[in-house]
Amino acid sequence: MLKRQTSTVAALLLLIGVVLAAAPGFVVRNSELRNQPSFSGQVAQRLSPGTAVKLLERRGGWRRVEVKANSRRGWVRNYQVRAGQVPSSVVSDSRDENRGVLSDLASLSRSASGLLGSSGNTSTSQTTATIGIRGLSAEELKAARPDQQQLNQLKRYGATPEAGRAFAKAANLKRRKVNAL
Amino acid sequence: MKRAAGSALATCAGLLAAAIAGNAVAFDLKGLTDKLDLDKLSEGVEKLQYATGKVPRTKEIELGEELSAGLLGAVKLVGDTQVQTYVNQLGRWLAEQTSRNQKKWPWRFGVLDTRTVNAFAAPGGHVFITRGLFVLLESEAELAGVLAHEIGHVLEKHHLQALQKSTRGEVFKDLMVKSSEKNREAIEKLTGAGMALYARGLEREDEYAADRLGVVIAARAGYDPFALLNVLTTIDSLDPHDPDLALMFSTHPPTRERLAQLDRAMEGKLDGYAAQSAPDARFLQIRNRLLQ
Ligand SMILES: [Zn+2]
Repeated sequence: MLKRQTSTVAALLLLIGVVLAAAPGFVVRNSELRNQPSFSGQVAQRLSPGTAVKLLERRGGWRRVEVKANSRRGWVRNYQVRAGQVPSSVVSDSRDENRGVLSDLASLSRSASGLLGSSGNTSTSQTTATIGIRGLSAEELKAARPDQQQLNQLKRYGATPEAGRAFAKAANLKRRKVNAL
Repeated sequence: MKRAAGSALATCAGLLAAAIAGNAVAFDLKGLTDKLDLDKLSEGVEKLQYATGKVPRTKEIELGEELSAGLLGAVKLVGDTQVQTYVNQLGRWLAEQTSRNQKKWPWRFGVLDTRTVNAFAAPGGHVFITRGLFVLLESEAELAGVLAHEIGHVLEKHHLQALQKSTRGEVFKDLMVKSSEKNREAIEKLTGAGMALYARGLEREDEYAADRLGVVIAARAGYDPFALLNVLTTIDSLDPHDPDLALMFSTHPPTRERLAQLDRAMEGKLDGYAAQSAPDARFLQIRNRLLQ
């Protein structure tokens, strides 16, 4: 019984692994598809933002992908790709094709929260009362008057070292020895 | 050249201190101590130290609190205890991995209630992230990367150094003066200079240094250090004309350059720490609170 359960779990894990391994993704910035997870690897193809890929395994800062259009496999830097479907409208700036690919996603998550204000892209320097949450400008920073009450509130939120360690433990985060770069 | 002048000044301060100590003995022998205002002289030595960059912990914390009060005068904290407790516990765990892990350093973290996408630090251990940036993040590791970058600014005293430079150390001397009025004046002047610094931004090199420190601190705390690269990618992939990004873009080096520099600095060195522990359920729960 136990054995069967274990094998079911194993099969399930394997299935999850396969699903994860074939996760859909897309290229976020101009990148080079290399035949090895290393900058010395040969460039097989150049990929532009919005290109659909399948996300395969990760190795350090590298990610193996399969280009959907031609099934070619290779390695890109992990940060150059994102999980998910290609955004429906890839807004690209003619002067700068890296920009804009995630604009939709970002504005989607922000408009959901009302962070985009009442009229969409309102100016951040607007100081008159606006519906929703205001932006912050350089002028406002320079004109600010210290708020001691807010500072006291900030101090009250402070966590002890013990609370920090408990927070880490709850997520099974372990200290690691890492040399400075 | 500048560095040489600085260390020469520091040596001067040291010599002066030795001279005062020597004189004190000599004068004492002659019964002339009362003619020498020892207090004033040692105050002079401390002033010199201030001008050359040594600000004691208590003064650094005091200044950081004033700058934080200034920031909070421009934008308030999100009034949600659960959100603030979460960033404080995460932040404290990150700070645990640094040279300032003792209780005497009161690390404080705050989520600012603005849609502007940015993060700030103030001396002594004060770190802020805006709601606008928080909701763009996808994981706890990404948040850790952002907070750790700001912690890096604090550890390297980037704001202190920039203020010492912009005020030529003059005001810092008055921080030590006994008169509370002068002290108050100095703090006020420094706060003004600090707010101008937030509006203007730090040196490019400071930003790159904080990026490099940030990924190391995050990795030490058990997080995927590559997550900070993801954050930078997200920012670099947004509409550049979005007004909510204007402040960050005007106060930081080009995001693309930060990405390139950090990626190069990390390549091959942090690969072993990339495995994701992904405690993301609690992160998503907090982000949802900010999206409401
Ligand atoms: Zn920074």
